[in-house]
Amino acid sequence: MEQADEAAVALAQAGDEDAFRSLVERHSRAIFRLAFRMTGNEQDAEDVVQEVFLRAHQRLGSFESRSNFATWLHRVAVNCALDFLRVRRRHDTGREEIDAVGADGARPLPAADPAPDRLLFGAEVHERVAAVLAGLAPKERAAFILRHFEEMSIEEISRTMGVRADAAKNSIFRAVRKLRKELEPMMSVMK
Amino acid sequence: MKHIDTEQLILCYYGEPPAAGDPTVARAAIEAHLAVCDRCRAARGVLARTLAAVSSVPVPERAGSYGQEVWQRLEPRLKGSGAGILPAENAGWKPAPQVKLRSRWLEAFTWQRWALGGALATLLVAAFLAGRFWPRPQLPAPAAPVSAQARDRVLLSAVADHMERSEILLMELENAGEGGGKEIDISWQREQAQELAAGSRLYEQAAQQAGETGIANLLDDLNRVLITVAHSPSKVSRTELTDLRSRIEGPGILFKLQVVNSGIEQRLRPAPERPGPGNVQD
Repeated sequence: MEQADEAAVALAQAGDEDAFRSLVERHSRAIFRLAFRMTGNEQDAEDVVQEVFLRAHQRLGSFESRSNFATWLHRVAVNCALDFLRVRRRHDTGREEIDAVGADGARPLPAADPAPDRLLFGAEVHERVAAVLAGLAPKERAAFILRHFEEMSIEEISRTMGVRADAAKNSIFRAVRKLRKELEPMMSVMK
Repeated sequence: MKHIDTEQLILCYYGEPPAAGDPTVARAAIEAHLAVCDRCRAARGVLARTLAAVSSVPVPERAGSYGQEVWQRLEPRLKGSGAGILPAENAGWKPAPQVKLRSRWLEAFTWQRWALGGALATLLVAAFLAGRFWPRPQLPAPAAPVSAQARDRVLLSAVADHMERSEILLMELENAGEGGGKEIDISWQREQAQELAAGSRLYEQAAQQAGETGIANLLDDLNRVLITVAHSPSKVSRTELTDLRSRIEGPGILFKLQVVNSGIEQRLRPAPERPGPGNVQD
């Protein structure tokens, strides 16, 4: 994959449209997965995917061939998704629905005491996880998703997000604490 | 007995080195403690189940042809806007610099930002004219007083957006040219800096008016840096890039942006965070 990327990037930088197309086709699914986890919404994820490749197209000239293209593209994707989340968060702040937001800024969650048989990794858990993730600050969400789903180390996250390693680590801690706090009642019945 | 705190458990779960000490020794100590401590083992169990539940959330599947679908939607946007892949000039691909490619949410963002800028500018001019030409006794009482808190939130929100965008731009410059190459293309960063610098002065004035002196001073520093970047050539040598970076690093602008922005985020939160379950440390 890396060698194929390297050759395609070199051709794309030299003006070969098919080479850029092959990069888009090869990386779209991975970028969609990341975008969906960051936004929590299919349509928003599709918008982010488009924006990622538009930005990649604009900036491919500044990409250094010795770097890893997939890593670079992930960095572009994280920045796009962060921009998106910041805009959406601020849009949401002005809406009436925010009135119902909890005191810690998290979105309202489903009731904490549904029947245990419905909880086992069911829709209720997924709904609650999605709600907690949606209530995280953009940086917390990004750092957590990169650590948990993309399996990046804290050092890699700090480079990708352009923040200090301590800041990335603290964002992950805050995200996990919020998840644990909201999901703990459910996890207790799943022992 | 000293229990294992939540942060250590999280680091352990992800296989990250413990916060302090020799990683091997620290990890062995954690494992030894977990073997004898029911409380910490239970805490680890809840954490593991929580994070497993997070992993279980499905991501909508995309077919093998998804990449082609993405390209089909992308291609007209690249070509339609004139940003198609151009033949290389001097062995470097240079996208058309005047091209603005934005999805609808970024368009909305830009519109909002400029609309807000315009509104702030109008308010500033109106305030100046009112003070300059209207005799004080004849000033009518405001019909609908604007909440100072609401005004401050609008300003802070706009300034936070501006700072975050600037922070990303400056970080991109810090990371530009990684891995070699004699000449580095910073045309995108230059273009962004021009756009940001146009709004920076306006935000600075608005912050000054609102009594946010610290933020206004930082915006003044930021504006100088943005103007420096905006006036740089599109392609720079390694030496020029180092010089540019030293101008960014000199006033510690990135650090200040992170600190101030973090403070703004705190102020914009609807209410103080509720205390969490806390660590299990004694």
